[in-house]
Amino acid sequence: MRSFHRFYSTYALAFGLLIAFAATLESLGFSKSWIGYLFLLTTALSYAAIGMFCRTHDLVEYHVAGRSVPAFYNGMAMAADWMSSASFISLAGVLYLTGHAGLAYIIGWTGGFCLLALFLAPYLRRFGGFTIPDFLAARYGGRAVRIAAAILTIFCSFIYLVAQFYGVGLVATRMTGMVFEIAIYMALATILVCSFLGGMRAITWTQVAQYIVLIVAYLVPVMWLSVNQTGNPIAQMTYGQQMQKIQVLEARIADDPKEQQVRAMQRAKQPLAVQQIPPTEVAAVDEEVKKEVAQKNFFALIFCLTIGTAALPHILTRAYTTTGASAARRSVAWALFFILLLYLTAPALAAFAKYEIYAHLIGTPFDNLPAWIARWSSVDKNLVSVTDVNKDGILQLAELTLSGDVIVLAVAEIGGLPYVVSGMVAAGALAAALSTADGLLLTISNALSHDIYYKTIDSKATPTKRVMLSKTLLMIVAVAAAYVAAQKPADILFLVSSAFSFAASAFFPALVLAVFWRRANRWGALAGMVVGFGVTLYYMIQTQPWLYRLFHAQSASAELLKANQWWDISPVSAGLWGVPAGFLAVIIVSWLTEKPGPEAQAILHLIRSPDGAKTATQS
Amino acid sequence: MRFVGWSRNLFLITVLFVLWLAVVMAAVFSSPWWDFVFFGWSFSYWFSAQGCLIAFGLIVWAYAAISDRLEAAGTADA
Repeated sequence: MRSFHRFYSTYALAFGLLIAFAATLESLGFSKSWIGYLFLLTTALSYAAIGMFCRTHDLVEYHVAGRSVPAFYNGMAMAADWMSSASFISLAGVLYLTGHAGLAYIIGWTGGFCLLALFLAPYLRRFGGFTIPDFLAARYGGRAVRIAAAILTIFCSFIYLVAQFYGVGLVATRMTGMVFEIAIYMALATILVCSFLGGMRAITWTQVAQYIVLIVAYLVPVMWLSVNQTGNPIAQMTYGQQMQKIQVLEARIADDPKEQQVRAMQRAKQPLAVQQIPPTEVAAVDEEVKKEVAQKNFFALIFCLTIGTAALPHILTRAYTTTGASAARRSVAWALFFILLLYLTAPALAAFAKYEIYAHLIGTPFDNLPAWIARWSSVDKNLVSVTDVNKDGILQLAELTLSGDVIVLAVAEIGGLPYVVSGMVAAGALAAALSTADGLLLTISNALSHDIYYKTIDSKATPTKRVMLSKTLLMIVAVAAAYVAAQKPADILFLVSSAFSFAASAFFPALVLAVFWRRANRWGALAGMVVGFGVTLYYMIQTQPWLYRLFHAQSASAELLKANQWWDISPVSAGLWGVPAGFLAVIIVSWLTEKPGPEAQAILHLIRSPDGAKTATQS
Repeated sequence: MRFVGWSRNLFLITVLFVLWLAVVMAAVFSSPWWDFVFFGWSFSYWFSAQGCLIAFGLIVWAYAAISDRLEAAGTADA
């Protein structure tokens, strides 16, 4: 423990020195892309070095880090595992664009950790397997449960993994001007060095380093902005007053005649049908209905994200790497603590960025716009664009289009901070994406090598052969995911959020009932996984345009997709139907079939007994 | 077969789960009547953005701390 503390304090110090060094280079006039390269390459090399140092051939080390990670560090690794590019890059952007509605992500993604701690983590640790299918197969018995669970694990993790590669590609392209595909394959190399050589052990210790980088990169710019705007560095407390000021500014902007002129001109460009909707009582009723739909979807999204968080296989695997059930509980608590540091700050970041834009950017003459606008819109017009609609030479709010993904990455530039801060933020975004990708990749390759190959096809394989096989599969999966990401598939953001719905409905019922309901049996678990997943998939196919086209071989009109919705729930939250369906399936089918046998009772005894009073035999 | 401390554990989980549910529901169905100003914040926004997260943290910490003590007591009994 002491030596870990020493190592990671030194690491944090070294990261501080890197920032100072880059700041010196900037003041000496080095170019921006050099500073970008410096940050991305140095941090990536440091992860690779930790990965090399932790390389291993040992089976238990490779799969579950020797089950010896202290709760504090396991929590930190879990936090990095958990916070992907969605948390780091997109979360504050969503809050910037949608305000209150975006809080669904914050509530759902943190509330899930309570379910994880209360219902799953300590029991998984007492069981002490290698993978999640391991646990389900032992509790319910039978090859079918294991294979179904392994396939679902691979499915959920793979769509999530593709999105991480995509995130890395975006960050690297924007910061250094590298070609998107090259950036993705560079990231692939870094990820491979780490997880290929040392498995879970290497991943755990690089994730701790990645957490340090990402949290520093997130907190420093927000604190800096907070000092600039309010004189107090504790951003989590000061952004409330900024939000009040934003409301005042918003009202003033809306009253500006130039602003109203631009909005009227933009409305005139829309199709006639939209223009002709009269602002009568019909619109008022419409408004009421819209509010209700928004409220329902807010609830549904929280439901899916919460349960999905507690059912994602790569997070659940982290319960196995701690030293015991007590450490598993404490490591979830630490993980939530480390995650809260970022999540309590995200709304502050959104508020400070909004204040800067409303107070300083709006009303600037067009020939005097800050450089970041041109820089980001040259990367992609969808990220930032400005057009002088009313030709008055001054920027109005309605003339500026900002994508949510740019808010965090450009926050330093929006707030007028030195470029070195931008480089640091990019390094943080890279750390967030890489750490999650590492965890996902290992989860997928373990499901393939351990559950599908070793437990199903060849149970006589030697430990050395199993580790070798896992490493080979890991490489293949990584290349496949990088390849898919390089195609820039449609609707990638939808796929990420849908991973939560899938994981929630496929795993949560079978896992929770495995621990808490003695009567749950093999057939119930199988039915629960298949029905839960099936209902979610069916709902998405019926209501999501891209999936509808994929499965029906024809596109659907927006009205048809809307009519297919149940209770106006959007496709992302399909888990709202999948999870109850899964629970019902487990319960009904278990009642209709025979009681679970003595093996299941032995497992129950094992996972329900406190650490100190172990009586059952442990493999 | 009865396990030492299992029913106590179930009781603890139930209490914390109900508490958790209450916090989540409060955050989801924030209604206008508690939209008062709280240290310069709108309370319903503050609760959704920070209050409920802190409550989640406390619940997980409480579970970790209390079950450690329960387990220690349970092994001593047995």
